[in-house]
Amino acid sequence: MRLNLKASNVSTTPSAIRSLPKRLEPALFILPHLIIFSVFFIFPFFYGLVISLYDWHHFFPEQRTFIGLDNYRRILFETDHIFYEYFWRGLRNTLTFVVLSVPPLVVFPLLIASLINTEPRGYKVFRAVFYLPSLFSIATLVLIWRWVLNTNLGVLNLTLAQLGIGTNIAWLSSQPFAWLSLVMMTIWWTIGGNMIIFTAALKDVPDMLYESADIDGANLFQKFFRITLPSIRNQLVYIFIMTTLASFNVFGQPQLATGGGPQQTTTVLMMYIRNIAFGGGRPRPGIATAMAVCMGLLMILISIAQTRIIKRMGD
Amino acid sequence: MKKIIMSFMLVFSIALLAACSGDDNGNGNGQVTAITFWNIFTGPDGQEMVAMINDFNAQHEGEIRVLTQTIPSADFYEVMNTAVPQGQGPDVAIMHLDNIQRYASLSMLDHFDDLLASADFDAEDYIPAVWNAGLYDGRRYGIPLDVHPIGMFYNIDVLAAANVEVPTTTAELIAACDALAAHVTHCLPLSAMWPSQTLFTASLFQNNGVDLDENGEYPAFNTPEGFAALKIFNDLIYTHGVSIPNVGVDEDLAFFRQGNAAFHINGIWMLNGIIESGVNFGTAPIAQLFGDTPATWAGSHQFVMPRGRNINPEKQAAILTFIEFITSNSLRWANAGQIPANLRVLESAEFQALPYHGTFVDVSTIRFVNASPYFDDAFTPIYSRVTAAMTSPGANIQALLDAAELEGIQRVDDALGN
Repeated sequence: MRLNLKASNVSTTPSAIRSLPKRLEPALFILPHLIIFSVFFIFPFFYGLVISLYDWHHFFPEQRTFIGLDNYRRILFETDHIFYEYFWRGLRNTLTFVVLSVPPLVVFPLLIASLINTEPRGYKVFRAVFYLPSLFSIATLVLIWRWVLNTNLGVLNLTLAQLGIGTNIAWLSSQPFAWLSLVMMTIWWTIGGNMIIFTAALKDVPDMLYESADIDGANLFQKFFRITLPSIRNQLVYIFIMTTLASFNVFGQPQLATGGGPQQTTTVLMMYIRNIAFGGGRPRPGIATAMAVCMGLLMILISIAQTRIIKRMGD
Repeated sequence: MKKIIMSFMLVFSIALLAACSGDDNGNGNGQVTAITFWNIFTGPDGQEMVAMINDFNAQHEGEIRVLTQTIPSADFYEVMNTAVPQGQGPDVAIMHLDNIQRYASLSMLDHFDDLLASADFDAEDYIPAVWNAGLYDGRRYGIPLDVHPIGMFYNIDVLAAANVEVPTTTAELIAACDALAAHVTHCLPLSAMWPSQTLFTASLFQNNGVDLDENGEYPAFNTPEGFAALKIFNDLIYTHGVSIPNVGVDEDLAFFRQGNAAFHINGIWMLNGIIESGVNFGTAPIAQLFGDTPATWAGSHQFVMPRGRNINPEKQAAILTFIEFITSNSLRWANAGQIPANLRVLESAEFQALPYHGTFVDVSTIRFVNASPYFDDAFTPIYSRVTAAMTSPGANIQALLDAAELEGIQRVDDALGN
């Protein structure tokens, strides 16, 4: 027995040492990303969870008191509290944006990608042009659109007036135009990213499927719905989920373009969260992180549901 | 070979690190005292500030060196909130008057009392309201740099063509706009968003209203005076047609710069932007434009010392030298489009000779908001309601005031722990 053990020690140790670099290799490859991911995601995530359980104080650690789930109770159930009001109004506004923006943000890039996929003359130029706005920063985007949508001087209202359609629509300070404007500028801004993914996906659909469909006498719509869509299902799921998550995180457009107005109808949850944590008034990081955690959970639930639904639709 | 290069690089980088760390903190042994200064001046005023700092550094070559960083004011307070508690804040910074007491109450700032005992800062040199706003709990946390009031710009050519005098009251304004209708597209376009909240606050004071209660805690604007102060903007737009509805941010400015508006109300910080436009213009106060009691909204930039720095007497002395230099040179700062807070500068012949500043505001009418720690929580909920009053023809003014007051009360309740 004893001899046996010794023998096995002798035989394994050197090989383990020898194989150590080999086993460390993958770890080394992911290390840079892991460090960044930990510093900027994992640590803040858990730190945020901790903060949300406290009446947290930025400046006096000794004044931080553990209050359990009280922050959550206040924003979720305490109906006559201002943060209940802010949370639910913010969530309602965010959901409105998600519902309004996700369908066009998926459909328009798909249409454009389908058109570009037919490779008409100059399609490369169009592809570049459609992708271009994605390179703008949010501040540039809003600055451009603020002048386009300007009530009295904007090119859009001037054009509409020329066509005799509308007069002086207050695009950014009245509803439903404020939502329309936000969705419009978001489409213009982000159309490129999704379009690139769709064009890549469409390229991978084998031509022979379309050829045999042609032989069977399928029309354009039948080909699109029976061949194209099922073939790019994976990318569609990916884009659908990522776009939904991105729309949940909407912040810059309403913050800079409408200021959350008119009457706080476009003040999305992220704006309230930032304002409560860092903005004017007394900072309340506990409340803000509790709101952020609730929003995060909701986003997780919705993406799981989306995956399930789309998978089932495909089966 | 590789090993040699590697070890060489290692030694080199260690040497570099050592060299960097030895430099910064002067300790009075003939070394340079470096102080860090965060400012929020991103416009033309920012360039002037940097020029002034360069002059200061040149004058104090070998003794003091000011390292400045400009942070847009939208991000400034967020950066302060995260940096200062970590001890990463600057030695000295610029802050708006209405934030000083809140930051002082949060223990984010150091007071100037010990420093000022040995310096020749004199309260009598400053506009009293500005000087007093830097006090919290009997201690001084802010030293005023400037005052930035709102005022009126008017197009001289347009007014001359219609033979109209510059209006000073609401009635005169309405009459002037009627008379000007044939001569200019827009009379006084009023942005429903920024800077409408400053106009409302001015109107509140002119109508004898107040922003916060006596304790500086709860909102106190929901009164008949507050009603009148808010209603006038709805009336001016929808009853008197002084402005077209739904004017966006800077759209009012654009009209004026194009010569298509007779009047424009904005902060004095817009002065250089309007000079650039080439419009032949003059400036006039708005102190009684919305009510009978003379009052002008103004903000103020003040120097503050964020807490938690590695501070020593040399550094503190250097900070004071720097603040003295900038404030006593505030005539240059006036040229960048601000009004000096220092009365000596204000009364100087050079300042009086500036073409637009003197007529822009009567300094004695300047009113500041109640800069209590609860100001933001109690008062800012009215801002979005000002926009609502200006964008909906039949706005229910009382309902807007009620909603803003309720939101303010709830926020202050929470801040006070009630």
